[in-house]
Amino acid sequence: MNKQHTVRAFEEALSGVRADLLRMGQLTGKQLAAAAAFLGNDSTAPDATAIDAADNRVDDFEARIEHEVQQILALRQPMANDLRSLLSFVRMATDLERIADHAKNIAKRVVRMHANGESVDVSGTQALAARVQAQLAAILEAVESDDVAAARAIWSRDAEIDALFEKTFNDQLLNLCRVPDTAVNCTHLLFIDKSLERIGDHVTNVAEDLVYKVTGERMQRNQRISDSS
Amino acid sequence: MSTTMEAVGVKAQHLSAAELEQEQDFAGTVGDFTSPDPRMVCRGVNVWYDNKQAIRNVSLDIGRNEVVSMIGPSGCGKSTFLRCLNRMNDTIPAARVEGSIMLDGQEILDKDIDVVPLRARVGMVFQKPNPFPKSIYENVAYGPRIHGLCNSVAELDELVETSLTRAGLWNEVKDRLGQPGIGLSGGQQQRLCIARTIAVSPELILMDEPCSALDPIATAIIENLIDELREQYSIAIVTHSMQQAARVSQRTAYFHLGDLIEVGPTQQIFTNPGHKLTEDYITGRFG
Repeated sequence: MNKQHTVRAFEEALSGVRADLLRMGQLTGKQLAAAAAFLGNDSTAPDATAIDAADNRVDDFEARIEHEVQQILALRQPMANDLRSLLSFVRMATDLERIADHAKNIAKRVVRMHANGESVDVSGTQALAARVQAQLAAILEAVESDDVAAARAIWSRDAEIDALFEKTFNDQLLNLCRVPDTAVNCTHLLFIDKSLERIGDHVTNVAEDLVYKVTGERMQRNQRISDSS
Repeated sequence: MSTTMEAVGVKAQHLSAAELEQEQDFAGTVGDFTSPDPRMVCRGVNVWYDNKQAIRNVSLDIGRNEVVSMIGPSGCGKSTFLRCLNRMNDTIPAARVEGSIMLDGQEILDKDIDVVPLRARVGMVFQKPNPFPKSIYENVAYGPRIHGLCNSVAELDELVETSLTRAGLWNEVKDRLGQPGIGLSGGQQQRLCIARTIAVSPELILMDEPCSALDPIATAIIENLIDELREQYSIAIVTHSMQQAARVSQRTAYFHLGDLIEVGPTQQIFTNPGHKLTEDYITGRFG
């Protein structure tokens, strides 16, 4: 357990950034959950304006975190774990923003899939989405508790997501060839699969940043990325 | 009870329960206290003021052409340790120093050592600039003259110019060398003291809070000078400014309650220190 800062305002400023990052994480998780839920149920699909509005809220958090960190760097000259925390928070915010962007793109594609009306098998993509959502939820929990062991485990599990992505992607590519009438929605699914796989990569980035934040050790960034698509 | 134990017992009266626990937990300095090319080698240095121990078993090398900064809260022993390096503690009757401090292979704690030439080899710059009440020229010329370093006035003139140039002061004072040193600004006075120190060709320069009485511009000039002086000298600097330690030194040593808690490359100490006490101090979680 870290001691409190002697300067209370410094402590509050650091806590403020951390709290914002955790709120940004929750919001990003909700965005992804909502996008995944639309996939199998067109009655819950929102309009494009609502999707953009939700994404803008995440973007605002990223800008706020960057501003807060900039202020602390300029005014407090943080050192050691404080410095690593702030650098990590900025990087994590960038990855969360990218995750939210992917969630937005998924939601927009699902809206178009429903409008298009072609009936396609979405079960593979739903399974992939469920795994990615679980990874995101797990890393956000790890960030909240500074759990390095959990971060390393989450990082390692990305290989399973990559494998599942490849299988799902290949299955849907075959479907697209076999049933050309559903080519449009199959193509949307392929892009959604890729977005989900990229979200998995951003989760590993957050895991790497958490390990760096707590231990100072730099893991091999993006080592997990496999892209055979 | 051994002398050390008595001293710790006396010290313990001043410590809180948490500090006592830290004392008991101290298991030696974290990090490599040696240098691959040492100019000064300190091993097992202990200092007592009467029966109160101020430094406990400190080992640290100061390498050639490097700046080592010593940081830590007031009373941690960093200045006491610095003063050991040119036997300045000899001037305090109650002070007793034990251990080994070798300067280029010579034991400086040896009772037979003449401290006057030692203090020329290991020069010191203090917190407040302390020029002699003499002219700018005489401030620099005094040391070489008493140590018999020059054979002629021309040689002495050249040494004064070289020293003032290395201290980054020559261009500002070359037209008024006969004026009193105390008439200069604080930053200039401190550079004059540095010129005075380097005029006697030291091997090592000790600096005890050399910028704490200076404004930010004078501080920046001194810090730049420290970086330039490193090419010819070894420098040990005590500072309360962690940003200064980070800016000027290649290695940093953190002292706490008389122990050398941690020493390591400066960039590592300030980004990923190995000891919790170091981290608490440099992040402002002291006390």
